[in-house]
Amino acid sequence: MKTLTPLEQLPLFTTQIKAFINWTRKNALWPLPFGTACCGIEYMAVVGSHYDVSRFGAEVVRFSPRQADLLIVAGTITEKMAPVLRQVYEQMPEPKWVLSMGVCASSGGFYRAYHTVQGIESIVPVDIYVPGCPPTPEAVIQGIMKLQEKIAKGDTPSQRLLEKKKMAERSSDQVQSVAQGDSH
Amino acid sequence: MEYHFQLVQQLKEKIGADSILREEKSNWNPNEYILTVRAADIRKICEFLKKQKGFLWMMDICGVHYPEREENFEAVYHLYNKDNNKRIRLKVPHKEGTKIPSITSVYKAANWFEREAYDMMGIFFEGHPSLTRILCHHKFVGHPLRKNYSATANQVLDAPEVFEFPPMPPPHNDHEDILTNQRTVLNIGPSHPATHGTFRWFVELEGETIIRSKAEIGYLHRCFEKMAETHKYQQLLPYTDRLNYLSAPMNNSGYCQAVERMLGVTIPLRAQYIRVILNELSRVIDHLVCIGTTAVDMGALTTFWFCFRQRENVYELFEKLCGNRMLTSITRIGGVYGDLDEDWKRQCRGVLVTLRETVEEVDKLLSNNKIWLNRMKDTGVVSKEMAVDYAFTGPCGRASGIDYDIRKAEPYYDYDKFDFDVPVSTDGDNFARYYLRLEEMRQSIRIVEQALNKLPDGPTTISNPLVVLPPKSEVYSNIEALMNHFMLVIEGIKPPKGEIYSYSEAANGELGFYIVSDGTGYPYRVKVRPPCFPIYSSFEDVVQGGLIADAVATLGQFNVIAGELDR
Amino acid sequence: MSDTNSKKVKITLNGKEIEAPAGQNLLDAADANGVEIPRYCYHPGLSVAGQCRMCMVEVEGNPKLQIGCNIRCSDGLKVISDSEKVKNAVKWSLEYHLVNHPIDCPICDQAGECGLQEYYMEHGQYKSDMHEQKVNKQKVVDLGDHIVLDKERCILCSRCVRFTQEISKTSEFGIFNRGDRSVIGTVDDKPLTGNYQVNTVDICPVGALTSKDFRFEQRVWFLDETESVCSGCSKGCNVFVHHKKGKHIYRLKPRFNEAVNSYWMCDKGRYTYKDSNYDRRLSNAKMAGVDIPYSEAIQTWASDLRVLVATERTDEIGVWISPHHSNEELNSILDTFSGKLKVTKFYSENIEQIVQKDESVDGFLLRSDPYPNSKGFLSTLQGKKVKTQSTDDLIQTIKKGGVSHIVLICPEGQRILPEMLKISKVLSPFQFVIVLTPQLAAMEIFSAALSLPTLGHYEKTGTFINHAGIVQHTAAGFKMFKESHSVTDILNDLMIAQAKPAETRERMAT
Repeated sequence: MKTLTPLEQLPLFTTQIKAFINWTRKNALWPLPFGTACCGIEYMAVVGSHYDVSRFGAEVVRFSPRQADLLIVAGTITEKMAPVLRQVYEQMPEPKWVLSMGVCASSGGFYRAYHTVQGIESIVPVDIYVPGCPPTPEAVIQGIMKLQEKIAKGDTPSQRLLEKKKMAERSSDQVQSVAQGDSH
Repeated sequence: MEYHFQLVQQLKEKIGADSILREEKSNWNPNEYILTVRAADIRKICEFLKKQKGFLWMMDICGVHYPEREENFEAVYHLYNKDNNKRIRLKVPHKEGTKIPSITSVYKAANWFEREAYDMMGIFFEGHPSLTRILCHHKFVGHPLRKNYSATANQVLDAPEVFEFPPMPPPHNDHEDILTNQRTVLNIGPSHPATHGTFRWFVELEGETIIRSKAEIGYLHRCFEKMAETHKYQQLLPYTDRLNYLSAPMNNSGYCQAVERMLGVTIPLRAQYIRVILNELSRVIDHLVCIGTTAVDMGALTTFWFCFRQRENVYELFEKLCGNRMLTSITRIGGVYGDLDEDWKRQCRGVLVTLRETVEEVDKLLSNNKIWLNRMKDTGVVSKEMAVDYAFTGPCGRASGIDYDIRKAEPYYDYDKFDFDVPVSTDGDNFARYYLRLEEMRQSIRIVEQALNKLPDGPTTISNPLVVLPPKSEVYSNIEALMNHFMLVIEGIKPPKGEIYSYSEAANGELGFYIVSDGTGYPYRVKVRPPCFPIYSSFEDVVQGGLIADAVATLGQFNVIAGELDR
Repeated sequence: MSDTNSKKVKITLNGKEIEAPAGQNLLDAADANGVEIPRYCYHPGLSVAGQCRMCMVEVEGNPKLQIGCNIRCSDGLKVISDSEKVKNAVKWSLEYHLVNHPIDCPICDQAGECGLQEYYMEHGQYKSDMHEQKVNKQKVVDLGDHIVLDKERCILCSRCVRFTQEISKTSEFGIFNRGDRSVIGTVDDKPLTGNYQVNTVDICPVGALTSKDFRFEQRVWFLDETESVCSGCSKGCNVFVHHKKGKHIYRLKPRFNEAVNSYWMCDKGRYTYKDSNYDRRLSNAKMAGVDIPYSEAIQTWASDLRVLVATERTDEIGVWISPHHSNEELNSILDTFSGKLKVTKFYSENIEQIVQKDESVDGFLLRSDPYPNSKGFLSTLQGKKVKTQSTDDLIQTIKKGGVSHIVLICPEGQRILPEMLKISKVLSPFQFVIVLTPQLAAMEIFSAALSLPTLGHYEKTGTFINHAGIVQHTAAGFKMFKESHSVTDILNDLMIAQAKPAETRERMAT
């Protein structure tokens, strides 16, 4: 039996705040199902009891962008819908993630056509692409789990943007406090 | 044919002998007659046919582009007479730029169809109340289904269209309350849970009453008809799945039926029964979604989970048969892919038992529920006259008293040998549509049971070398079958030159395919007649004057599927 | 050989009376009247063999079926090609051709343009009865630099045998062995010789003879076809250009032109498409090796011209041209430089000498003049009263400092590169050099110059005059690079930019 140090005997563990916050973020993804087509129906199956995405904390489906942090683009995005998608994305607060569900959202699918956007990455930045037509619910869940890994590492563009903003704020605070003559 | 002969005589007397340019018989349908008429007379002809001859249904209007002809466009109208089950196709050849008289004053259903023909082909209808684009976005330049428009020429839209209602005098009331003497303009959608995907609905409200509304579609216009021209007949099959994606096998079936009718082949009986089983199962799951999502909109979330749980069961059946849960591409031109074995039949019978239980469960949960009754009874009322004028078919039509089901009127696939009823209601409100769907589910389950019991033995595809791929064992072992396979895949199935309008009873109503063939492996033109297109075109009229909450219920019960509506 | 003379006779084909020149081969007469009689061994450019037995027809007066390719139209001839008897005969002929045919479609280049595949769908449609072991023969026989032979796929139509006997006159192909062991081949599988080998690939109805250059490169149903004229020599053989969406050219095939090249073309000309292909092409305008937009390139050039025009120094402009361009392009070059800018210094190779010495190299198609439009070049120069000096004169003028603004309109093809290299060696930073060329190698020689990409030869619309004075039209079917433009368009834009310094006309991307 290994003897525990006094610190190890206490009922607590140490972590970084960043890691803790990322853990909470990844386990409470509130999706905004931007379902337009068949993938929307398959997303309903993911949310259903058989596949049950609420195990991942994503049960709370929010149709208001102000209350959601995971934009699931499920279905074909047409040229007419593209500005709407952009608007909805911009209304979401940071940190936010985009999961492109299905091949239509990822690359236009097999609709190489005049009114279909050939992949939503020209409209919103995408974190995870889930291929399939429609992707099986298992594939969608795998996509969400991969996204959770990325969030845990802090690796997504949205989180990096937040980090940069925080660093910028902190350095401007420091500059301000130096300018004001504080000694640190 | 005597009926049609007399009809043409009367038309010639009434309108003019030179208004009818050509008469043709249909190559497969003895009830259909095809007339080529002059552009200037189309409205008079339609008026005569509607008022005097009982052609009350305006099923479809579309345009076809023939660039090598002198009269390089053709507007095609499909009319239906329910009393004697006769159909007429009117073809109006004209030069680009000719103004065709609009028939919106004759048939209300023509409104959106003509807008679509204008959007896709640039055919101008004179006298149309608002001939604007319906499927492509408002800044789109050009008419995409014309032969000189490239399928890959995307046009980016930078901002959604801003709607405005023309000004109206303020409401008159005795209260000083500011809330009731101002109107609210609300934009619902296209990203909204109640709109089930992608409709945009612009309403002007006085309190909670809808004064005016504007329904906009096209947010899922995925250019199915253009894809049809760039793909071969077999390659088009997966695209048909994505029309009404809730009941994909029915679209597959309808499309393959159309091509088979053009080719003049009859699929083996076993394949017909398999298609019937798949179609009826699809009908059940389509209705499950319709009821489930309407229930969600009303706040009854539990029903939604129950319905979707049953969908999973049927998904398993589909997956066992063809690999995909939802978008099956299960039929082939000439038969069916895959065969039902005893294991599948056993599982299917088990699924039918649970489906029956769920239907009864949903019935118990909702049909006598006070909240449900309050929200659904007497809301979204569509009278029979309005339903006919708007060419309602399917459950929405039958709920308004239109006793029309293609499976009974013109049976295909041995539907006349199955024992089932077709429920019809005369109330025309949301509750009627819901209850009718419940009953239809019961009847569909009956049909599946009978089909499973009566399933005949035999092949599942015909063995015509010009239509069906030879079996793989032969393809890999002799040169003839290999070449056959090669040529069918490279050059495609080549139906003879001609056209067809083939229709079947899909979950929402009459799903029609108007296919023009030029003898090559690529269709010249495919027009899908979506059952929910004319139904949704009546939405603005139906909800006017009602409460906005009732309109949400109506929208749910109309079962508008964007994949079918916008194609 | 299609023997036609002016006398017309009336024959009855499938009950319909048609008129045909007396002595015309029945198959040609049927083709001209929309009746398709299947055939493998008959070729209008070769003698009749009667080897394949597919063109069987019923002739009134004969109890047995006759082969159609051996029937010449004569008055009163009555032929039926669509009766049950004929259809059966065709079906079973086809079956005998297929009895030993290997199951090669997935790896055979001919798939998509194969005579067996096409006729099976139209005339076959039977279930195979062949359950025996098929006869095995040699596959992938290397017949030299251009051809690969697959003896199993051969249906022994003997078109290649007749071609080497009658057209290329090398008599290399023959049929060896007997019965179902018969094979086509060369003696001891010796490689083929001569400049006309790949024509045998064109005429082979199956995948027995395949071109090494095209082998496994692309499936034919992905190829688009446009018509043009070969750029290899002054014969101007008519060609079909097979490319994929205009981005990659895969091969050239000869197009029938009775007056110029009949049904054939030489191998050297066949490979000229490589010079026009994407990997040897300049795709973007460049200034000293750096990519710049087309409009900027035009502006840079125009500004230098403006200075020269303003200071009346247009005699410092020198232009190097060649007969690789169409008449229209040459016209616009001379109109712009000689007409508008009053340039007098034009240079080129000694085209007059080339045309004078132009002769057939091998007695058939290939000629010694390597340019497709030499006669057009000379007549255009004569018409505009312009004379060109030689490349050596240009080099001397550069050394003496007589030119400061040099325009080199350099064609595609490696043949011209040594000339260009000579010019580049004498250049100094005092000269402003503009290179208008489709080829990358020319741009790389002039590393400090302003380079503008022009169209490849097979993308040009224009007229070309061949050695016999025949004017041939080409119509562009594709454009490989968005940024490349024809010389005419470039010079038009240049003149517009030169006249109005503040405006640029943005060329719409096509």
